[in-house]
Amino acid sequence: MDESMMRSNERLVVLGRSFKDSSEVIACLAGLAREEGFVEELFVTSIQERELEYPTGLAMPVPLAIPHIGDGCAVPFVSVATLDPPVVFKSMDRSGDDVHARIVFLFGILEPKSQLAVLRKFARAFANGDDVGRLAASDTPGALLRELNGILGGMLNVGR
Amino acid sequence: MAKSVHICVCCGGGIFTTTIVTEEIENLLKSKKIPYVISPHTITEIPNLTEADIIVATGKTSAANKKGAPVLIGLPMFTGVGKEEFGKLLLDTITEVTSK
Repeated sequence: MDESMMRSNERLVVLGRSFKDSSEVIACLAGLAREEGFVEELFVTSIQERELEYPTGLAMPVPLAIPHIGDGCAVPFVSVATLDPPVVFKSMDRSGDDVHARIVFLFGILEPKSQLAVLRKFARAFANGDDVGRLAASDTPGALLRELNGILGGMLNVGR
Repeated sequence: MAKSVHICVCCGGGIFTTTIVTEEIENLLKSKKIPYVISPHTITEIPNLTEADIIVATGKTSAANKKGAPVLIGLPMFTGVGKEEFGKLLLDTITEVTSK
């Protein structure tokens, strides 16, 4: 198995949960990665600070957010939450606009060059309302990951 | 040979968005055969990027470059939404700064 591949698994996926704000979503998704041993505590605190200064909401056909950093990350991964009701993130364009995110992808990124291919797939997928809409409507974590890896051309290392 | 245009790509963390936006800009400039130098930075560096001819930030910023390099918003290169328009704006801006 290629260790540089971005990882995910069913324990890193949360479906249809209600959160009070963006900070709570990030704490949940970063916390799950912490439990997997993919990140250090530094990651959990840094990603919160980063979101305040450089927000990651994207006003796409299906609004979403993509918190991501490399600080304190040991294993590259993505954790995912679908949000019901949607949660307000500030827009990445720093316009101050609110993005009512229905799904959040939280990334731990190492050596972006080696992960460029999968990140490129993600970036292109975000604008596709049909694809993201299907992910947001997933019934089970397994179904979401299968759908996601299909969209990414199998570039995600989905573990048990 | 024409002088290379130096583009500084700036985002919050210097990863993910910068990496994608940089690659998209490289593809565009290669296809137009425009010589370039491109480097990753963070938004906080914008005022002091003395080497920059053009700055592409992923998000809006009130920061101005001390040497007057124009600052463009490059988020369309990340999501692909509005990519054509951004590409045209970038090429026009390159023409402007290199004809000075």
